Amino acid sequence: MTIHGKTMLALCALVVGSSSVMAGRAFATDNTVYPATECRFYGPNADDTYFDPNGMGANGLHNNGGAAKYAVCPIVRKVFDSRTGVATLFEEASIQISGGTTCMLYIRPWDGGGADILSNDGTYNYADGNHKNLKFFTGDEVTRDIPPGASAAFYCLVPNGGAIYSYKTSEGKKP
Amino acid sequence: MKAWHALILFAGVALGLMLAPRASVPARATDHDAEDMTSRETDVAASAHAASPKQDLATNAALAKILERLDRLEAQRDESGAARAATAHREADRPEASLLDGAVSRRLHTAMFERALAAEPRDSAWARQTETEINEVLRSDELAAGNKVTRMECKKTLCKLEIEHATQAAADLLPMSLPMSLTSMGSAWYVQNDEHGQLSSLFYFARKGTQLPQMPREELAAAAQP
Repeated sequence: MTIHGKTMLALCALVVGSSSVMAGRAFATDNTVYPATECRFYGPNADDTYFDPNGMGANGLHNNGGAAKYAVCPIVRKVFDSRTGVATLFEEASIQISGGTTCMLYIRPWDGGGADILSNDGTYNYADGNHKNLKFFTGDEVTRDIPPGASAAFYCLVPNGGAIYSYKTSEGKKP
Repeated sequence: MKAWHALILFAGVALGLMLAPRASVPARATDHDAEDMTSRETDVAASAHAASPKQDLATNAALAKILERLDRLEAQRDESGAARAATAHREADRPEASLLDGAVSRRLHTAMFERALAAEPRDSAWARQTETEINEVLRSDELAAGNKVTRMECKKTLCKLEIEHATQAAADLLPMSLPMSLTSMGSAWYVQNDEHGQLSSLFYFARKGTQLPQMPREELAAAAQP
């Protein structure tokens, strides 16, 4: 074996070691539940509305302000691979609301041009009296590809007395 | 096997063992690794050299060759590193290195929705009802000012809507208010255009209970290829 061959042997050992470690980096689904205090009312006099002090002040957003208000609940995306550009998907996106609140899910590309404006079709909603769980996708039937770099947020219309308690996303790698 | 052969083999194996645990460092750290490798290989060779009191001239010559080769590798690394740095700088101008160009994506999506709409038969009752609802919503106080419908077409599960805007504020309000106001429509895709100084929006709405078409992944992947 030549000196060059031995140098290559050492480099090969390095490459093999790197590959095995890199291959072990799983691309797992990320399940995240957000308290609705992440959400914020927008629009005129939005600051006049405050978090509900009666039991869910730390976790929910309650419109006590008289008129209906729009709220934005940002979703922090944690699972995507910017190096390969592989799109991920939402296996689930849901938001827990009450009092006639309605929400849509906005997914906007990194350059701000255009957007997916997604509504839930009602199929997988769960309602318990005044409280409702709006589910936008399910893992086994409908998923939505999310381009790398796109941002996502719920956009809700919260009537007076309405509330947002929490929201949840499950984002994973494409099969 | 000559003594220096064993020496070099030992140095190579030791180098491999030393560097393997560092493989979890991201690929971007390769330059540093190469630098470490260079110094460590030299150190290992030098310490082995010092530990052997009976080294001969051939070993010295071999070590000299190794050092020359390392010098050449370092020079090559510096050149390729500079090239990579230049490329990385250009890539860093974009938020995501391998992202599909936004304009291309919008063109592909528009073409996909056009094909889907063209392929649909018209459900006259639903289409008429939905077009009426869209017109009513657009005549509401909130949306009437600054918006003018230039085209509206509903088929069986999809509607296309083109609207010209007098102001940016009117254009920005529409995608936030219109989808939530349409009871017969579900999800939507929209894009805002500013061609020839005329601000406009293009919407495709899916009928409530139906899914908005998704761009085939293969088509997006193909378009993303450099």
